[in-house]
Amino acid sequence: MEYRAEPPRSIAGWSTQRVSESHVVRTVLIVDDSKLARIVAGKALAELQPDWTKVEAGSAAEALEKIGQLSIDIALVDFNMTEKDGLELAAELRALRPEMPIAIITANIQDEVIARAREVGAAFIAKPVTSEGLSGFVSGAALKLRNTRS
Amino acid sequence: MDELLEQFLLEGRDLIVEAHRALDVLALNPGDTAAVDSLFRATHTLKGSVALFDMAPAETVLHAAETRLVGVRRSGMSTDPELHAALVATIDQVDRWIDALEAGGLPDGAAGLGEQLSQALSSAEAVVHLPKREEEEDPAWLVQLRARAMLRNRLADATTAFRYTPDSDCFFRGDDPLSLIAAVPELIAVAIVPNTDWPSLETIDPFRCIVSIDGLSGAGIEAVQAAFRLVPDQIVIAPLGSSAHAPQRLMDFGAETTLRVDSNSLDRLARQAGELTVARSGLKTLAARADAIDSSLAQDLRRAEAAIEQASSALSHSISAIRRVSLAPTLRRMPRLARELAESLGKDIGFSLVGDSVRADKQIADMLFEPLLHLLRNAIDHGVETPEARIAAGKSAKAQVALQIAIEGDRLIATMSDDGRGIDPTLVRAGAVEKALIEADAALTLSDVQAQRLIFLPGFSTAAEVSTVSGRGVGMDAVLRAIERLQGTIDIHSEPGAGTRFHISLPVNAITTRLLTVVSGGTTYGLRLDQIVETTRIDADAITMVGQGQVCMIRDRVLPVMDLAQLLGQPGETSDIARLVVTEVTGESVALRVRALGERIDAMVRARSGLLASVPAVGGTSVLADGSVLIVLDLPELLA
Amino acid sequence: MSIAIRDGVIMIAGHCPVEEAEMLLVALLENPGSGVDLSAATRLHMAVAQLLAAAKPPVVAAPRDAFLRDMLLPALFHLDQ
Repeated sequence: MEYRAEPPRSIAGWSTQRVSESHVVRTVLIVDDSKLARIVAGKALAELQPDWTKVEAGSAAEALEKIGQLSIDIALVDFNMTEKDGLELAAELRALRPEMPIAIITANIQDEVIARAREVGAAFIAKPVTSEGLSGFVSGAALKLRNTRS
Repeated sequence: MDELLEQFLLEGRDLIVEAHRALDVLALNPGDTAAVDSLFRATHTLKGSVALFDMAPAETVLHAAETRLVGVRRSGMSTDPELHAALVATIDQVDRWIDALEAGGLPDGAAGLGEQLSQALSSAEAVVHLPKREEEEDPAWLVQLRARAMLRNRLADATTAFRYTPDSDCFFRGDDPLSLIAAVPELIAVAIVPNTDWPSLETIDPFRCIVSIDGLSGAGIEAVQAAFRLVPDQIVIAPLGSSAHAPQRLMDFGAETTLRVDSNSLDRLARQAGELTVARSGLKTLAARADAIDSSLAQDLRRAEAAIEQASSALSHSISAIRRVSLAPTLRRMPRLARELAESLGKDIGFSLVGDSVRADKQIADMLFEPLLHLLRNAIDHGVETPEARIAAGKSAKAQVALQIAIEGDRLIATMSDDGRGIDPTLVRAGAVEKALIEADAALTLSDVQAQRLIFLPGFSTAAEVSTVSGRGVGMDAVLRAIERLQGTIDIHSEPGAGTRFHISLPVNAITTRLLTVVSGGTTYGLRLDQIVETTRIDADAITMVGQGQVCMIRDRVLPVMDLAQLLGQPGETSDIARLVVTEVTGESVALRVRALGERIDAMVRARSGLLASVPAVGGTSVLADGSVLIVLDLPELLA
Repeated sequence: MSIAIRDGVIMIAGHCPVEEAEMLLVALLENPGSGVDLSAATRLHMAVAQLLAAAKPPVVAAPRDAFLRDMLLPALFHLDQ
């Protein structure tokens, strides 16, 4: 005889909703000045969370504009962008949205970049983005959003 | 030998190697703190070990060295050339004293020498300032870590300790601390501890990280840092330098997982495995005989024989693996000898040794030292020019001599190279002609590469130019012979003016074959023992002519008799007593008549090559201890 | 599908990501005293591992994965805590 553990009813005040069901639709902002890179990141995300909504921005300016207009839950920001680097943008996003999960996408990680990312509370995702590389961040972000809203 | 002494000789020499490795690093980078730590550890442990024996001078010098090293570590200074030289001299001297202890005891005058070395150590300056170490004492976390039950017994194996304190909401950021831990190189053990007491399950928040991870790694601090570079704000890492807390290695038998086996037992085991192979072949004979009586019994016998063959070949493989030892103990004297040789010859050399931890069959390891040492002598004595000559030739005054060992497939490759004057084929040709080793016109027909190989001829290098160093009456021919005994090859790549490289290729596994030597027609041959059913002597009169051939009766069976000498195109045997070797390799029993039966030997048989490749009956060759070449006959081919 | 209960034993199998911590917690709360079978576990998130360390349920079967068996398991159940 085999049965799955039942979903939690109510334990210590935190949500009774099962995270793994993930039927809450989230909106993810993908910021990269390369269209190709945005497609790659979008595909990886769709493998993990097919129902989630994607919003793309090709520059830091466009990203700031979208975050003002739309309800964005999560941001994936490429580090290496021409006008403004991803960390500067992440810092501005953090100021606007203190609780938003933010990840920096980068191919090579220097210690100085790591330190700056830690300061703004951003995670790292290796470039090119794969669903494997993205899954930890997405799981954590889903949990965090659920906990902060409940 | 006294068990304690035996253990000391092993470990003491390991520590000498460790110390030299650190000194090599410090020669290039005088400020390498990890190397200072490693040198300190080796010196400290050695000091503790020598105190157990009658080696007071060694204890004195090691104490002086340790004192200096403590100063270096404390002040964050580096070792300057003078101190470095004094440390090298100290470790070399302790190495010699260990040799002396093994031979019976320290020589007279050791105490005086010890005093001198201690003087040199304490007067040498250490002047270059380095960034100061942050903590003199262990920080609190490291003290806690050292005390953890999970870790304290493993400290001796560890190089680096770390404490990783993930922040409580790291899971939300996508971090998985455990996957970072799993990626730490050479992880030895970890302890997972709650930041406060463990909460009850009823109050625990499963998505808050509430633990820290303390761990030990055998890797260096940089490698461990690299594993945690994404979480620099949550990690503290420290090298486990000081051995004050580490248990004494010498007496620490309890933790040992390796078993030291007397090499004679291992040789015996290998020989017995070889005998098993031979004995197995008897089953083949039985199966053939059983065929006449009961073919299903014969089938079963063949199946049993196949199973035994499989098991015995697995056994041989395991034995080969056990027999593979690190070359480090064999090669550990090389750097010291290189320094001593260079000094005595007025040469300025840098010697580098790469790959000394490569593993090879014990026999290879044991026999490799002499030829390599000879090549080293040759390189320093003949290959490398004096500093003046080098400068005149537009080279750096310091010559480079390098020994590199590597494994390529099932071959061990050893390369001894120098950037000296190279081997001039013209001079070699002239020298060989002058020593009447080769005719003048024959010398001219040789290619340059062939001419360079003339140095391997016996008598080539034992003449006038032999110095006290390369001398000892041995020439390069001895090197060639030694390499060939190991079934290896040696090539020369030399460019006049630019340098020489000797390239040695040897089998990693010594695959010995049991042979029976027999004499036939005045020549000694080897026969594979597993191809022989029995040997016997009968009256020559008992051999009778039947048709074109001869037959005899052995154990109620009629066997054809063939004369080995005649098979090889020589006159047959004529003695009154016929000595016979019975073989069944062709599916039927055949008695081979030989002049004399020799001994059973274990030899490495090299596949036939060169000229012999075209002779069908020759299965291979083996070089015997006296340097002579034994031709191993291939009976199936000979009798086919 | 990596946390299940079979015959009163909590079976932890495969790769257990962070989300599974919640299921494991419920399983531990609802089945007090039951053992855990880790034989088929290949990767545990720290969130899952720390729950095991806090609850210290009897381990019915050790993981076959070398890291989990040789490094994590002793660390979870030792007495330094």
